[in-house]
Amino acid sequence: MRQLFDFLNQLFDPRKRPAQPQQFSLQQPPPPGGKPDVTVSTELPTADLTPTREVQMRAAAAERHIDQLLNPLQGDLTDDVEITVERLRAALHHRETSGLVIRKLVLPASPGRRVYAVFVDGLVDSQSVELAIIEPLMTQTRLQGSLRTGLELLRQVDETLMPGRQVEHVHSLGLVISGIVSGMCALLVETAPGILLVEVRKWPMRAVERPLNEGVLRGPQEGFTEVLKINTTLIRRRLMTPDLIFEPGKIGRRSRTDIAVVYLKGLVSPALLEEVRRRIAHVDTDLLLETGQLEQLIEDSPQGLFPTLQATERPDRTAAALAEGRVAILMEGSPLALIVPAVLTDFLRIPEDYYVKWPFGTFLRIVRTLGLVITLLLPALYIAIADYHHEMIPPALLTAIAASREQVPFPATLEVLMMEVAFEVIREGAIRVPSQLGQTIGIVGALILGQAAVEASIISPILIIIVATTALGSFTIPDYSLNLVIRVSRFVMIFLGATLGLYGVAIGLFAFSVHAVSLKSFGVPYLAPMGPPQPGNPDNMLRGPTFLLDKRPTLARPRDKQRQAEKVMGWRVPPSNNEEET
Amino acid sequence: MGKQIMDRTGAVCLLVTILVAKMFTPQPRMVAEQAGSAAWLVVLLTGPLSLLGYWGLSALLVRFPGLSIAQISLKALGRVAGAVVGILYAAYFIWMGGVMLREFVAGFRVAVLPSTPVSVLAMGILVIGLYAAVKGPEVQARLAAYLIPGMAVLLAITVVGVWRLLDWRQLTPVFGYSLRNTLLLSFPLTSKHSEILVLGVLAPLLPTASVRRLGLSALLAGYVGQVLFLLFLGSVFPFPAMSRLFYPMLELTRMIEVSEFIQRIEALFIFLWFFVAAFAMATLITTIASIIRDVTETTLFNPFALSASLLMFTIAFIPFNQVELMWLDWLTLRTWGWAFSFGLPILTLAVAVLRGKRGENGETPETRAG
Amino acid sequence: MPASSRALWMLLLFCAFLLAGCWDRKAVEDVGFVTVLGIDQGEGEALRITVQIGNPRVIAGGRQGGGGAEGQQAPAMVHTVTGETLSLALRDLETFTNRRISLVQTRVIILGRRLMESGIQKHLGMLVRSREFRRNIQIMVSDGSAEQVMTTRPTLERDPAVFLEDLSRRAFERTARAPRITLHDFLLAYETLGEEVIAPIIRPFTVAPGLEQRPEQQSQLSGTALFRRGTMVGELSETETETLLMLRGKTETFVETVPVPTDPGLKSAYRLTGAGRKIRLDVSGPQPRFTIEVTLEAEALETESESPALGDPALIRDREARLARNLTDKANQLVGKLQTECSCDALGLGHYLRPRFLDWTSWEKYQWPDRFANAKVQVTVRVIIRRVGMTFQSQKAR
Repeated sequence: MRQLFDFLNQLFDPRKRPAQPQQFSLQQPPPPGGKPDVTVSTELPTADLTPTREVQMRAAAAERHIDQLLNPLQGDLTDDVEITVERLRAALHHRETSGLVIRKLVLPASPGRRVYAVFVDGLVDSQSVELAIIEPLMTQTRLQGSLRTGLELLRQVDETLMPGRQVEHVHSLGLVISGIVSGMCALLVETAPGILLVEVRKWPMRAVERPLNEGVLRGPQEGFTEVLKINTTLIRRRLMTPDLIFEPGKIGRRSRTDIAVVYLKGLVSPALLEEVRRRIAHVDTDLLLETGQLEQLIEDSPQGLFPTLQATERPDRTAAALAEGRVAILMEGSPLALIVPAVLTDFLRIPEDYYVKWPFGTFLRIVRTLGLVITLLLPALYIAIADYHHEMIPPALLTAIAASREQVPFPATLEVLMMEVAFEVIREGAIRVPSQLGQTIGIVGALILGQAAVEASIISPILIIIVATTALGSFTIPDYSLNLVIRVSRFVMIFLGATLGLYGVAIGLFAFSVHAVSLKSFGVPYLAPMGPPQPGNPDNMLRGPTFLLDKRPTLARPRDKQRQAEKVMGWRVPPSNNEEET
Repeated sequence: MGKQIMDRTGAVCLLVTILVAKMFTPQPRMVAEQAGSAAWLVVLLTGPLSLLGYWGLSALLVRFPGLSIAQISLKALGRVAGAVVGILYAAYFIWMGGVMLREFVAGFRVAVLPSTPVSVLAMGILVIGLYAAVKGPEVQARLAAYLIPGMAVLLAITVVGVWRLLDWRQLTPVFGYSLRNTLLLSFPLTSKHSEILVLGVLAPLLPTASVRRLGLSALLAGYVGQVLFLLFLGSVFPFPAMSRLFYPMLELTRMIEVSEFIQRIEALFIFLWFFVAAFAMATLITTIASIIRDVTETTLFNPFALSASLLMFTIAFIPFNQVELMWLDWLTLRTWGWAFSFGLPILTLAVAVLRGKRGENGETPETRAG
Repeated sequence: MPASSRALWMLLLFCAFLLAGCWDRKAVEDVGFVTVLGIDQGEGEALRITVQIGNPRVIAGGRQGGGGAEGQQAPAMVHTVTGETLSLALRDLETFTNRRISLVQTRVIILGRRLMESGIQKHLGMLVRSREFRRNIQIMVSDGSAEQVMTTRPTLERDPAVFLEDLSRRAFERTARAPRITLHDFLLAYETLGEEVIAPIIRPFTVAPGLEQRPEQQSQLSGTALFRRGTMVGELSETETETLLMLRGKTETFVETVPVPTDPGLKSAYRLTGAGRKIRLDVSGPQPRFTIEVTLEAEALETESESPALGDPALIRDREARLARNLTDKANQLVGKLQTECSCDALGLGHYLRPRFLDWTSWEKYQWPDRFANAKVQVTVRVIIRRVGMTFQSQKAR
């Protein structure tokens, strides 16, 4: 109850509302010449893709803050390796926690110099550590050079003894600590300035499997996993271009989760990229487990109903989005990539639409949109017409409805609500139960419940049809977030239809439309592709043939408008007559 | 100043909606009562007059580019007189909104939901209109641009559905009830398209160079739309029917019968009607709130929108019954509406020319010639 | 007002709306839909209203309605109530039916003949003004009383209203022996002075003499009721109705016979379909002259003698001419009857005359219904035989 009041309060009290984002628009100001910017730019300036001062400062401040959190014993590294190791022990709570391994070695090549390898067992590849770090250190007897200074020793170790992987030379204890807890092995060499961090991460992970919620019949069956590195590989395989940039970053004070902002340099709009970076840099929270949480923190209107960032499990969809000039955000631990900007039509599309021929792609899209409309409106329309507007049904249908309702003890609204709630309960229940049983429960629940209820004359058979059609319609919506929106809005429509008939449904529909139109996704209006139509890209509700899709969609204002040759099926053009003459 | 914030197609669609909205009220009956089957002819003839009035309005807007009508009044007439004129504009729109609201819901109540209190129906439209108004004119314009084609399709379905019943001979005699009635008495009853004054409020949001053109295309579209509407209604309902039917559009959709099963589809019409009403209310609330905001020279919008809708609601319930409503509409809006929407701007223009005021980069006949 | 109490007020308002709302809700199973309405003359000035309310359980059939004792239930219940006006009579109906009476699904209105003969003017009011009637309701005039017609129970159709509606559609479409008139047409004719009202006549089906009358009664839609200024003044037989509809240009199809050229005792039958009607008007002279040109397409259905062969090209024109002459004679007879016996313009000629007038007042002054009797109407019918059927013979059988 309290939460309800708080929610209503903040509707009225502007101070309590989350701050409105600055008016951000992807529209770039027209060039001073006055001509609109429609030509394809061949000179692509790259300088303006670097992060702005603001973003850099925020990132640095976040790093410092994290440093402070992680090492209360602030300070530089000392030359005394023992003291450093003690400090590490304290910072990493060696006494209280298990898993931390501090291995002391002695370099045979330079005797007397101790080397400590510090790592967390479980986050590193034990075999790698043994074979690639500890063994070379223990067995290597010859080190070139004078080895007088610690720096030279460190350099030698770095350059000659570590057979593989990425090795960093750091000077800050904070970085060492964060490196160790994220799976690196720290090498502290006596008398050497700085510490080496060797990347030997390996942790148990799920293999690349079919995407669980975004299956297609025709198309690749790979889905993202929870490991950032694998996900980047999956994307890299599809866009093997040096311009594919994965900007690394860490987010979350205590979780220090790796994230990557992915874009195609030269294609992406600098304004969009900057905005994405800016929003992520402002996120200051403890823990982020899933991209969904990140989405809620960087979206344009948290009070909006519709999702404005798209979460996808499919690498092919991500690659396609990147090729349209959009930006993807990957996060360690989440198999869903976020794609920005995302508009309504993106949630109604699946990649399969593009892999099949265009009439069928169009047909599938129409079916999906129809499913969405049915899910939203059918129960409300049924109640409105059966309770209020009897004159608006053909007589035969009215007789059928009246006949089936005569046996039933409940009024139409209650019936509909009961059945809809029952269906929602079944759906939620089926998700929790392990997979085999879950499907059976769904079918059993629906069929038997419905059938038995009809036999017992508790609900009318027409209602079963309506509720079942509604549920089936909601299954056609490809995106889970949008699915949720429509399912909840359906109940609002039912209430409106039950109180004011079609008038109420019209109110709900209009409010819905106004809300949808007023949303923006990173500056792009939410209903953008529906109008005005873009020439050269017949790809909206109805999908044009692939050979006509030669212009990139201008949603994200990419810098290169042509994505396909205008006459892409060039093999059809007959050879010119000149060749015959010569 | 003058840069495009609002979608141009959307602005035109919004204006056309509010111009044609009166076809969904009992207005056609009012004209047909006097003019008979020549209702369309009367509207056709009064169109050029509104063009004349529009010339004045657009000249004023062009002279002070990038400013809204209230700001222009303040600038051209001085602070006091300008404020008074601005308040008059706002009052006109509030009155119009209230009467229009009542007409919408009265028709709906009579025809579709006979027991629901009119206040509830009115509140429904107002709440939604307020919500859309608070979101801003850009959102309304965009939504109009998306929905208007759909609504046009619904209208086309209606036309196709009653195709069997269309008979151009119902439109005869050509001059309606009598020549005198048609040319003189029905004059005050037709719409002079006064709602085009809304352009005065949308002008700052549109590119300066295209304000005049957009307004003209909206006006022409609304004008042609009204004539076509009345032609369509007149071909189905002859004069005696048309002069009595309170809600001819609904009766028409009730008669759709293409085959045995495709009948009784007036549910579509309810959506069409509601959307037109909601758009009209949203546009009017936005207009009023913008005018008051400009007159008081603040940046507040939402409180004024709320107050405007409350005032509209109050005014909507001034007439006791259907009879008084029609009489009130005739007495006030039909007879004197044009004075506010065309008379005041032309007066302002005259004063501005005499005092030599104009906006930055404003066009005057002198600069244009030179 | 602090924010929390504002929230509370909003919540209360919302709940109040939900609780007090739904003003118009009528659960569909609580409503009795009057599907056929019959209006008769009662004692004195009163009306006898007969309503037919469908029983959805029986009509929809299926598991709910069929089997055993249920099967004997009537698909519709018929009640008669009296009252001074239509609305008063229906008010009485509400006192003994437990359902809310709703007229929104009324599809057919049957008007009693005696009532029509005393004039329809008084009773049109509710039909037009009520929100529950729509303008495409079928209007029929019953020969006798409407109550009698409404107690018939159709055998092929469960729902009597569907039976009547479909009957009017078929009778009109397939045979042209009764017109199809909706409330809109009725009002159009009544109010605009351009034509006179007509309506189909419905009567209990009586078999031809010599045949056995079956126990279950049926209704028959045949003939046209003629009105003059809202009062019924006469009727047309079925053949006359065929001709009338042909002249109105609204004919779909009907069957006509002509004698075989060589043997007048034998006949051939043709199916004629309306293909167009043109009306030419000549207003020079004291009375208007109308020339009605009707074009019909014919298809041979049967013939009692194959000689001369139907496919004989030399004789086709002759056959067409015979048909045309036949029809023209009938048309002239009909026009004469309309002009002399009842002086009612059932042909709709006034609509063609009205465009000649500049405004309504002069049209009203002209009083066309009174002048119809003196107008000159000339009818020419043209018949084009298109097909002669599945067998074809172009010469005399040897």
